[in-house]
Amino acid sequence: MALFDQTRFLERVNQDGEFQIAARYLNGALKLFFGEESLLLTFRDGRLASLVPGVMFDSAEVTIRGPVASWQEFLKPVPRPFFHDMFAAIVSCEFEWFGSSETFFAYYGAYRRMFQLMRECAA
Amino acid sequence: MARHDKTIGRYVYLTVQGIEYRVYYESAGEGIPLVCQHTAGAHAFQWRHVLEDPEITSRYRVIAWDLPFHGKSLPPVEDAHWTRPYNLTRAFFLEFITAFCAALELDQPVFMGCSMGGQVAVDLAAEHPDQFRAVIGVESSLASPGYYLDQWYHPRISNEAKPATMYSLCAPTSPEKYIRETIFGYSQGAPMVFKGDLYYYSVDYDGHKVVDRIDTSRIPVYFLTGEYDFATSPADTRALAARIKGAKFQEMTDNGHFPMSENPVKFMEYLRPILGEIAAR
Repeated sequence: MALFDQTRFLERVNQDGEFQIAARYLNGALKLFFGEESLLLTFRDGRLASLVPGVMFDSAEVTIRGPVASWQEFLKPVPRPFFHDMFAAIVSCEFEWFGSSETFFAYYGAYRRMFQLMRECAA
Repeated sequence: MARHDKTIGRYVYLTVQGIEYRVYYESAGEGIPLVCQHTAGAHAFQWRHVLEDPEITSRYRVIAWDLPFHGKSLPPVEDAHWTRPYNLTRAFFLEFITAFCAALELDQPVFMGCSMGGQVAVDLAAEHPDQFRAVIGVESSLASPGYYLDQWYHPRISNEAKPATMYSLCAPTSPEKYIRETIFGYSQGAPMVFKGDLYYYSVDYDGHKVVDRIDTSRIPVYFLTGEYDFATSPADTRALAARIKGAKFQEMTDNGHFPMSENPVKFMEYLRPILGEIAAR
């Protein structure tokens, strides 16, 4: 699965000023499902510390899941309406999230910026 | 010499439901009154581009207020508002708008509102058709259930969550500088206000109950909705317009839920012809 350049994405996130502000004090993990495959993103003190393939017993504060075709639309430079942002896509498209409401809403600004950078690193 | 904006800010005292409020409003231009209602949790800043538009202000006196508890309209001093939850009700909202227009002696103003302002445009058309020249509902729908949620006012979630999610409601093609201005406004609201406003938007408003009473021969009704608005989608507004005979609806490209502030240049392309049509009546 190569929906985006993961090495470049990791660098971009940790160099990004907006992300650094929005993610301050963020610790824990975010698991992303691209269809059946997954990635575990681990944050340490507001930095994206690692990005590794997910395994069955991963522990994550927040999980976001979507079909591969929906991710492909989401990661386009200008997606069609409601795929343009993860919160929009969760409300209106085939994405879903579960986990800690506190973390999701407190850090939605960080997640949102991170997904923008993922879009910029899309294949 | 200093460069000033043409917009002037003032305060007016209004009594609504027996309580006096000191209400801030901004105005610019001369002509037909055009009163503008901001979205939930925001304030009059959202209308600054309409207030600054020379073509519009050459024919219209544009007025945008901050609802009580919003922007520069402080809570009332003679009421223990802190002892109960803040919730914007339909009854208060309608009485406030009509009291404001009466206090300024506005002669049949045009009402324009966005989001909760778009919903109250529908309520005004049903309840006060002869007091307004026309209504323009921006991002209006028949109903918008499911948004009166605890996360919008929770001690463990800061005011940052609101602007972050309001960014989601903007179009990816809107200018970044104006998206940032739009969401900055959302970071300025008192903590309880956004959720409290959503009481009207998501609970107290029900267009199904009033649309059959709207007579567009008495009050013209216009709707505009941005293509990227997932809270009130173009399909939602289309369904609303279909229930009101004679109502006019246009979907706006390159806009989301806050067209007047997130992409004002594009918004004006849709708004100016409507205002021209109303002025020519």
